[in-house]
Amino acid sequence: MLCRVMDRGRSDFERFVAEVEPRVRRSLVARFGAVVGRQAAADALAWAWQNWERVREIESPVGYLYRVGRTLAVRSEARDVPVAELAPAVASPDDSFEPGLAPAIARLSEAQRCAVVLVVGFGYTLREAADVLGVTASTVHRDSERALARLRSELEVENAH
Amino acid sequence: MPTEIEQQLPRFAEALDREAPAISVDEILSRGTVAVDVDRLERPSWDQVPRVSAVSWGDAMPGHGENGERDASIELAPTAAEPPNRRRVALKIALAAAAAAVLVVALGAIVRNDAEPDPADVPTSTVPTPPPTTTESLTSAGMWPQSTLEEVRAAQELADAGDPDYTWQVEPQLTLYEEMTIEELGQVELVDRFLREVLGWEAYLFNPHQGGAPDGRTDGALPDQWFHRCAPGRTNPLYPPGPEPEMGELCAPTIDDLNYESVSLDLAQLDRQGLDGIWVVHRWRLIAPFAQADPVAVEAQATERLEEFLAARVAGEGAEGHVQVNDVDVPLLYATPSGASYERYEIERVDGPQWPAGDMTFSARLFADGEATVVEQEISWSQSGGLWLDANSTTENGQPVVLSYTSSDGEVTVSAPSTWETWLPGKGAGKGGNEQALDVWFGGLWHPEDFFGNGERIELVDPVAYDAWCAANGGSPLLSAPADAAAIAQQLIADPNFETTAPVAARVGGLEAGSIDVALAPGGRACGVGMIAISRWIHALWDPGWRLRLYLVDLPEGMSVETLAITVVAPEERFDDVIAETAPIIESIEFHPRAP
Repeated sequence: MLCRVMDRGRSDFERFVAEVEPRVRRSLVARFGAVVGRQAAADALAWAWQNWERVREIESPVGYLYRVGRTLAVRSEARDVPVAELAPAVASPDDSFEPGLAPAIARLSEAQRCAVVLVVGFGYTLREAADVLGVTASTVHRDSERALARLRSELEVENAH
Repeated sequence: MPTEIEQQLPRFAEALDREAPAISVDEILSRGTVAVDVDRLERPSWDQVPRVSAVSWGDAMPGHGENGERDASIELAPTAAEPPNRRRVALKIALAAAAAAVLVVALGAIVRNDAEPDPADVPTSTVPTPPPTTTESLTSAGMWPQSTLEEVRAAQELADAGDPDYTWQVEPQLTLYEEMTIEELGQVELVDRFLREVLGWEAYLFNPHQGGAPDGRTDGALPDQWFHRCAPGRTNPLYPPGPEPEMGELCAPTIDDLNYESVSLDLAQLDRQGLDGIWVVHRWRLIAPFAQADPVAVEAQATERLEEFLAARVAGEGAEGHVQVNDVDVPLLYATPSGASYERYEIERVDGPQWPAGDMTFSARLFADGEATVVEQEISWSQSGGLWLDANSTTENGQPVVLSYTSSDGEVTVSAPSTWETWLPGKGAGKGGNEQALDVWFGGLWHPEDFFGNGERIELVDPVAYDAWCAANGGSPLLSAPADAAAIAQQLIADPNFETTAPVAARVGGLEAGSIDVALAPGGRACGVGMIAISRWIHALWDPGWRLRLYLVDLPEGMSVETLAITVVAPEERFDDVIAETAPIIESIEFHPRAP
């Protein structure tokens, strides 16, 4: 009986992970970079499993788990691995994006970086990104637009040199 | 290599996904115990920033360890990574500690020295005036921290040599962003140091709404940047901080409840312009106190104007011209969709007031049919623009209403639920900055939460003109020659970049049309110009995983476009739903040829 209950819980959790994992992981990766961000996402989801009865009742679990992961990442003091330092790690073999893009993204403010990576990069709607980041959709829109403007400006500057 | 940021970002995101692949349930369950004090979850740092700007750092620190470390109640299992380099991040941690401490002070939520009264609890009239500053008798002056051009040149040389006494004056962000932004702690060190060391301000606020160059930006110069002094440890008494406070809400004026001490700074690169040039405060002057608007007075004024408008709608006349509304007339101005007149109205403030002008948004409800029908619309008030009605917010008994739109040339009309944004400009107009094909007729409908040109959408475009534009801008044209609907369909079907279904007969605007479904073939490419903001027509399929239904219709004489392409684009998994949702919109399209 206990096994069946656990199985059912795991089944629910598997569905939950399938739904929330991409946004939690991508948001934290946008914020902290691939290594720390992914680790924070895994820890946040592990925390969700350990507190499953409570988490399953949360209305907006994605945003909540983002904050859990963010807290974990910041307090692990590993947060100086910004997304920007992905540049060498994700050097694109097919030149699908300019070499200066990743460092330029890293130099954005946290809000702008998360907004532009989630919305323009991953194609989330403003509302979906806002749910994760805990801000309004209009804030995400503003941050993303500013980020795009700055990326254009910065890459143009780099190209000009 | 693509040059457009919007086109490259999805590829960057794909690279992120490769570097940080999906986390399996097994991996999650294999991790050790993770404990988090959920009462102390991190808030987004951009929520912290205003507090940092608005509250004295000195006041913020008590209650925390001498080394600035945070009270982090967390236990990570052995599987969690050890800190990679504590010393390297020490400064950031200290700054974050200050930010966290400021959170504490601002919200009065977690840590407080019981021996000291909360500044926020002290009545306004008894809050002491901030201590006098070094500028009591000095209201303006010249350059800082250097005082002559020769000194600036010498400082530039020392900065180039890496002398830390001068490298802090190199502010690449001011060059790159072409504007002042204060979004992070100590983001612009030049400003931060000046305001603290020269003016003696413990806390301050940048005002992006005021000042700036009147004639546009000049390289190496940021003139007339306005900063206001904040009363340390207090939040704005007239704009109480909300759950996600804005900067102005966390900055209390220093003169009285309305007025801030203010300074205007001219920043400049006087020796070398560019990313590695040092910046100085070229000139500064204390300016007249900046007055924030009193939200109570603003709301009274806004309410009066709004009630005039709504009363006229109930009266059935004289409501025209009271509000601005984008591109369309005020929907349901005098009656419900069934024609029932309004009997009364209610208003409720649903957003704002926003610092500093007190801008706010109301929900207006108009009742008809003895309260059985309620038309609701959002109407915003700004001091500069008056009332502005969001037509897309219109609902009837909570359901979107259908609005009718006409292109500016009068040739096309379309009706769509108010949940869709519509842009039917006709030829030569568009949105999205300079990325426009100005000679191509195009329009579109999209959901307001999506970017224009992104997400599920309907687009109407002259495919022949677009293709010519695409070719002229370095893209790969689809059409080998001007063609009618049937020829375009055949060329599309033959194009290896796309997977298509067989053409199906359809009707659009009472005319015979054909429709086919199109997806990007594996390895296929569309257009390639990379101007995503105008990726209309088949080129909307630059993203794999999306599908497009294409209607092609030959238009009659008297229309400015010979063949019109109407595209409905959606992710594969949502495609059928979106097609069903958009079918009534497609059916509503009407064409209005000009008389010969």
